[in-house]
Amino acid sequence: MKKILYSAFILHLFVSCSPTYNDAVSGGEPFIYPDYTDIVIPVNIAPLNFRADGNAELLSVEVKGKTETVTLKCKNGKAIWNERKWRSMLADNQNDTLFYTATIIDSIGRVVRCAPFWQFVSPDSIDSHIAYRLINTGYVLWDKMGIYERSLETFKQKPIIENSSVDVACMNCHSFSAQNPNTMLLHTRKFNGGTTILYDGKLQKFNTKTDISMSAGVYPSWNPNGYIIAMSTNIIGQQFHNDYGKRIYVSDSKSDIVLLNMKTQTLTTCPQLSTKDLENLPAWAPDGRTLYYTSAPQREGDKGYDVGYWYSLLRITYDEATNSWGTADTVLRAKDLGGSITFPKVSPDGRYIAYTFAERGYFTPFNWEADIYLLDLQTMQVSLQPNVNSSCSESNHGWSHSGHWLVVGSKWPDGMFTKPYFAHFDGKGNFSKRFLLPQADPDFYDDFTFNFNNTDFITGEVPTTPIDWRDAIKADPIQVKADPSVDIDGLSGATKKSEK
Amino acid sequence: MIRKPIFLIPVSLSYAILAWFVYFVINPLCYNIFQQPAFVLTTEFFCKKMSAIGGLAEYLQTFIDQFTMFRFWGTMLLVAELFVTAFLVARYVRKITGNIPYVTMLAFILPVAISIVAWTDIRYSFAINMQVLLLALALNLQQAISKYNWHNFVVPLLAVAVYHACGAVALYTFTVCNIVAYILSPDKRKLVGLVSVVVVTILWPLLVYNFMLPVRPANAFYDVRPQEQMFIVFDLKAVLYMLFVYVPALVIVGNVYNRYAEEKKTNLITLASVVLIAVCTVFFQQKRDNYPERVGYKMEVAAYNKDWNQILNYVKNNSELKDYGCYNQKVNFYYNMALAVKGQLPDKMFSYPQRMGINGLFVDDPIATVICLPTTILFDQMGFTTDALHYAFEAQTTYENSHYIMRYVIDNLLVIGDYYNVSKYLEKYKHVMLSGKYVKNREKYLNGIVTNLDGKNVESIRKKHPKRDFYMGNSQYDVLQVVMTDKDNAFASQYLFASALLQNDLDLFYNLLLRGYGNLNYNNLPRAYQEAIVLYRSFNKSAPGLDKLNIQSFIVEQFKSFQNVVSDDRSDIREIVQDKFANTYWKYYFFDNPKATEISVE
Repeated sequence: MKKILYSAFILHLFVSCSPTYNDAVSGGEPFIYPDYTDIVIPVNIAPLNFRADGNAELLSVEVKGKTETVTLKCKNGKAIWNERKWRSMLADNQNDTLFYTATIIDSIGRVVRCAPFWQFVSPDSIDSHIAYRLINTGYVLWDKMGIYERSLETFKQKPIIENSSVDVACMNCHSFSAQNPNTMLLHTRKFNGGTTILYDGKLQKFNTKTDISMSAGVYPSWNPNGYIIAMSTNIIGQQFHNDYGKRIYVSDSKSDIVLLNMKTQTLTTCPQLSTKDLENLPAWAPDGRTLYYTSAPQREGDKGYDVGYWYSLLRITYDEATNSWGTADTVLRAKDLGGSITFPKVSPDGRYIAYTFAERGYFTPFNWEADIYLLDLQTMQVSLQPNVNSSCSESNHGWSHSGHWLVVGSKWPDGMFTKPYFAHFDGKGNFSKRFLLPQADPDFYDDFTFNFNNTDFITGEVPTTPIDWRDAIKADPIQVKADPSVDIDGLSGATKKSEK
Repeated sequence: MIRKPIFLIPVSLSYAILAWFVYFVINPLCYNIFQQPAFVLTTEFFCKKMSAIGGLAEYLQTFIDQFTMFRFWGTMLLVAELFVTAFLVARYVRKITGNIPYVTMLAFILPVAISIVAWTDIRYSFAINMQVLLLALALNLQQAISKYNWHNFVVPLLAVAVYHACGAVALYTFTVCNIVAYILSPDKRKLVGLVSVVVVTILWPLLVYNFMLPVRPANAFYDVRPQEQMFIVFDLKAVLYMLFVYVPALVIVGNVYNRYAEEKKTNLITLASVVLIAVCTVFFQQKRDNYPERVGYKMEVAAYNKDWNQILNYVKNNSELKDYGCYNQKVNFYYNMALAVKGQLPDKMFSYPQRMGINGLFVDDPIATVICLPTTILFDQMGFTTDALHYAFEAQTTYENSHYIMRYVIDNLLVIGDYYNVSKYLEKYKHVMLSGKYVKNREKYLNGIVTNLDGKNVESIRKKHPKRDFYMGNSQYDVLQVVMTDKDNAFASQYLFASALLQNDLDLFYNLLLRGYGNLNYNNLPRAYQEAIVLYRSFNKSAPGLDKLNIQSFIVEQFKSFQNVVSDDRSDIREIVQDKFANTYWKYYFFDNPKATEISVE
């Protein structure tokens, strides 16, 4: 009898302490952080853990799928998925919708049962990894930085290379050929300078500065053939704004474009890409023959505050077999749009170009007004994409291998730190509402003061170790050859050596 | 172990001297502001430290180092740490060589001598002390287990642990100690263990470097400093290795002493050793001492604490700081800043040798990590929040969790009104030990109502901050913008006028004067300004508006006499000018400015 009474007492305690929320009032959709409400998600994404935003606290979340309903108990106000459960939910609800009903305690202490929000599980899987540079908010100086790869299917992040092993060299502009992790490029500057390239299973460092180029290669784009890399060559400067919202303006006094052929280790260019104008940011079309790039007219002596270069979008064809170039053709004129076009990225089907549009310049992570636009190359229609933009800077975007997903570097909501957001693309010119890179702990971004810089999709892990990169970067660089048929002076653009 | 006064007195005295030396001479606060140690209570911080060779020592030392922000506790902890190390080394040596009070005494006083020489340079990394402490711990552990049969299997593992916890040099020392101990020991059963330790010592660093950790060669094979500090230039690197060398050296000395020393000569040898060590310590300490640099960092601490009188007193009480050979840019910079805060820059600026010209007023060119904190302090004091924040962010690239930098970042973000990022940085700063009080204080401002930040009137700073956007970078131009926004900003005005004078740009100086910047009383202008005007008048008699300005007659007379002196074709002009016009602007203009002396910033 004693045992029964004791058990009944314990049961009573348990029941009286368990929240039943019978007296919960009804409310609208909850504000959660990160905002994972009403989004399209890939079937292979890592769990989207979240918490209530602001002063509210999440109590529980009911997730209703096609066949199953799961209740997430929110310890410390966080909705944390069991990874296995999450994966099975996504697999079971592929091409269907998950409905989330959250119960929260709002800022005035009421228990509120919120209106449901949804996540559509797209069968279009996302590339399994992304690569990015993590860098803090310094503008001129740097210390710790690294290039990392992160699985999008789990929360695992691994360094590809950290600069602590290479004498704190500045490292930047990592890039891959068609999201293929087996072909990668990375520049190092200041210490152990050069361009280290993973190509044909080998990691080697190159010096890409030749007498037909004004600098070593800078902003790269791999040809889909996997062995030709277009790179800009730039003389870069930066200025700091007194206006806190603007912070920094990066501009070039000169820039051109060159091609590096990894098979022959030869650098080539043409007069059309070496004019006195500022050719920059090359981007190959998937046909491997058309090279898009941006260009702004050079204005001698313009270094004052009010000057901002407006870059137009151009293209040129290149025939590798004959090493010959077509004529440069303007695709979008900056003057017509009233601003500057930058970071053009051609969709894998070749039909669209996603680009950043800003008030001025080409390096737009600090342009708060910078937004992502889409150009339909069939109709030549340009459209602002509200679902991937915010009131902060959007920039440094990239397409997934399939073309169904876009990653966008956005400084939303703090205006200071770039974070990767993902959005689904329907192939008809529309993006779904974007969502933030998921982390195991939804509080992750609260105290994370590094920028996810230049996030790019990759289809798997880079098959190297940080030790491989260290050894390659510390080795003496191989000098690339200048194409003997090119008669261009590196610094003065199209001026021919013979004329000089 | 060492109860006789002849041994006990030198030991006690040496630690008392060390404590005095740390507290009064090197001052833990200087070390703290130079290296900015911050201990972060996160697994990420622990893992990051442990990913380097010697990571455990660095991690534990960072914990101790953070207390150097308190002068007394910093001193006590550093001295206590060294004492514990010496105790462990002495214990180990005693176990190997037997109880020799003389050697035990050396075990205690030698590290003090080495430390006094090494710590004189604020670039010294105390992580080295922790490496030796952990090494001594490992040696004692190994000694304690040496009687067991399984010792031979454990000792190579211990060697690996020493390598990862304390670094390559500690491993080499561990091995050398083992070899010496083996040679001295009658028990030759430990050969297997010894051979395995030697093999580990040769192979393990190679394996780690080539296949396990992406560390730098210096970290894997020979440098005793933490990976992050390997770029700090440290003269006389040999000193860094002395604490390691002394461990096996003592074992050898103990053995030699055992064999050859005669009892009656003990006192003589002890006294001679103590005297020799003391003389060597003083000699090398003096050789390494960079007194003006130390004062520069003391001033930096004072400037951070806004103790401007202390900065002025440093110069007042140490007149040698004005000597040519004692010149230090940081001292010059903070002295100017303190004068400006007190409103005395125009009057007293040239009583100090402004050898670097405008680079003694601004230190931001060329940009480097070391100039970021001083420049942040300057622009924060000036109320130029955006530039203070800019340099604080630059500093944070190296000192991610530094108390100094974090506080400047957070306070300036509060002034700007970027509460979202204030919250973010507070959240980050919460994980740094010893930040609690500050974080609690600042968190109350997250509601958006902040009027006073440690005496700073936030609303006033916001009002006075330049609203117009412009490109920052040229400090003189930046200050001009600050002054144009708020002519009453006396601190900035003094800097603006001083920058013109230090660049010998009298046209600019005169223009600023006529435009009314600084709200100056034209009837009672500061002395340096009057001297500059007289000089300008001598070049440009038709300059407009000169009549308004009241120049005291004795200055006019003095200038005439200056002109007479310099117009004489004499070889001793410099001496005469130094004698009669020592603190004048004219002396600076003609003789002391960097163009005349051809001094440039490195």
